[in-house]
Amino acid sequence: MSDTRALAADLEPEIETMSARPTAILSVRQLMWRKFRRNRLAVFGLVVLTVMYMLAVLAGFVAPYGVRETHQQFPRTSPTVIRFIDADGQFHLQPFVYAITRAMDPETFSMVSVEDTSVRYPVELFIRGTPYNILGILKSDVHLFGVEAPGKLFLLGTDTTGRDLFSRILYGSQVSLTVGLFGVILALVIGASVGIISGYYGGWFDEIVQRIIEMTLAFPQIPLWLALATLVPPTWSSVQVYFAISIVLSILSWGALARQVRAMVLSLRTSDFVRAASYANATPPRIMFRHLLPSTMSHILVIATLTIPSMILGETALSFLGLGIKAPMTSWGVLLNEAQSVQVILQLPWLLSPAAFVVLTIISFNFVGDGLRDAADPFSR
Amino acid sequence: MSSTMNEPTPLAESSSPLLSVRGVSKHFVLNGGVFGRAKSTVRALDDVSFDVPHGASVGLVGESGCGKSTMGHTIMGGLSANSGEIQFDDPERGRVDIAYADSELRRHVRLNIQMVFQDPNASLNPRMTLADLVAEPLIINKLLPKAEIPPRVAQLLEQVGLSPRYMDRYPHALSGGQRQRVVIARALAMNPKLVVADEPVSALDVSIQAQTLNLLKDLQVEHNLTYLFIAHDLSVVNYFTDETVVMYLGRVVETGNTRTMFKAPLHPYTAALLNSVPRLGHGKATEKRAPKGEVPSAVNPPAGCHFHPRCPYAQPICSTEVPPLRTISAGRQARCHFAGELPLVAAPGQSAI
Repeated sequence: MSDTRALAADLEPEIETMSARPTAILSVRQLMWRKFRRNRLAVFGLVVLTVMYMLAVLAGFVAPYGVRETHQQFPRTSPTVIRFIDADGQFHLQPFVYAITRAMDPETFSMVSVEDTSVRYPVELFIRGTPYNILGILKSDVHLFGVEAPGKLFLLGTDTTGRDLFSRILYGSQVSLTVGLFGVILALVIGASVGIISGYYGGWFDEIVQRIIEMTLAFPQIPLWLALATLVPPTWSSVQVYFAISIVLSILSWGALARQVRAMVLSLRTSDFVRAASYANATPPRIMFRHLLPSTMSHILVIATLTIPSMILGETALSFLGLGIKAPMTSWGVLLNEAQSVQVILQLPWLLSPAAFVVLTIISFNFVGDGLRDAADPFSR
Repeated sequence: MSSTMNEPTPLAESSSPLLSVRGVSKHFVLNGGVFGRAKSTVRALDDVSFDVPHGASVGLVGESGCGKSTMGHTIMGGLSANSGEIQFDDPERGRVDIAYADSELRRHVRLNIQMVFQDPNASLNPRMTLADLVAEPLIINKLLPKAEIPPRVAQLLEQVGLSPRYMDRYPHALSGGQRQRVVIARALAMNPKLVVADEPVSALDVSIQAQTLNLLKDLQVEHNLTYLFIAHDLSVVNYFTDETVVMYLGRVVETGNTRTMFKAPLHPYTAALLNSVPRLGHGKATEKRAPKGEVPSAVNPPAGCHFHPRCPYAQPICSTEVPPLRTISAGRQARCHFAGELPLVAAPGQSAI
């Protein structure tokens, strides 16, 4: 009798040889990661995003100047050029910048910044400057790079009031990169729960939820965002406004998510392992959150990754129109708000540079989302 | 392998059966047409009756779509019957009708009736480890204190011939046969009386099928299990079961001891099924004996005896009157107007199945 069981082990020896290799006991998540790594664009996107978020966290350290630090004598200054070769053609191992002076443009009679090639300021690492703190805990005044005062280093130029655009972009990323995350988490929690419950129970609840979702999806996004954003009281602090905006953004995003989760749950609901769980007396909450949710999790993650860009764009659009994040907080949309008129863009084209950061972020998120989508089902070849 | 398992066991009259299905019907209503008006009904189960005696293995056979899996899920409570009774001899509560059980009774009965699914790839959650999978029924039903669960899981895995070393593995790291062993271990976790095995080996390689069947037989002896064995493979049924229930288009057409039925079928459909089993060395001769024609649609089954359009012995009465399920001889029932009168022969070399 027992020999049938001994036989089983003999006939299926592959598991023995597999156990010698650590690969045999990879979890589904580990398998996903292996597949994800094979997609180069996705890995590139992940690296870019990691750098972006690092910059956002370390904004105070990386930015040469503070977020509200104005250089009154240098408004509308074009990006400072970092040089290795000076005006005499001599090479310097340490990069340097020239001092900036103000001068009258003989053609337009407006004040412009010109380089004073007589004074050189070497670009130094770990230079002391404006004090800042990171995440409210780490206080310091050491910056990654900069030049000794009174030299100025405006990597991406300054705006009309003389604030360093590069520093402001870094500080702005703190808002722009996280408002989407917070909004997505909110949309995820609502969307996934509604989707799972509505897919699992079906019936009238499902019908009502589907009609509501159809309504939210049928609404034109921008006007609704605008309408909701104008509801935010002007007396609210910038932090309150920040959270209000992310709620506004998630109100229109949860529907699409709930739909996709529901569709997955509908197909999983009748699958054998869900039946097996219910035949083992599993309660509906256990089936929903222990069996259905983990099975949809990878797809939820993909959807989330692909939703964040639209949220970032939404925040940018709202702030660009002046209805989103308000000063003293700054975001990429707020920065782009300054570049609204053609006149400004023609004269100060560097004010558009926040758009490049937006584009890079969105593309990276989409690359990562595509990679995750392919990796979400690690058993498909 | 105990040889007694293959011998005919005394039939139900000695004691009341563990499970008795009486006149169970299950209809599915299909909506069609633009406005959902054109409704049609599939009679997946039509007045199905059979018994599963204590300690026996009863086979439920038939072609795809005849309602055998529907019957299994109806017993498990995954589907509810439209009419009829399913009597279960519960060890604590005595005979209970589980066809319309309330959720409290259903939860109780499920401790004693468990299911082994056809496809182990689908019935194991790919995101849970073997330990989680086997422990799940124990945790849900609070059968053991937390500390005793891991040793019990290890014991269950050993019982099905899997090393407890695999506890941290995920199902995808196992072969099909090993996965089905996990499914069996999971079903055994609650110490059930009845195991509904829904085609437990048809998704497995032939070489693994025999091992799995032997494992199920060994477990039957060790745990005093009763099997309702749903299958379409007659050679597997012949090997595994004591009694057989043959279904055709939602109706039971023949029941009885497996060995005697396979030697001398009473219903032309059973005979046709038996003759269509491909056998080594019988090449083309057997092909001719496959039942002619297609299985009719269950939405619109033929009148009278469902089998009459394909039956070589059909008479005028067969297309007008539904034959009753009659007892022909001791423990043998058939739903045929001419049961016992037809020159039905099982295929040559029957014992070789």
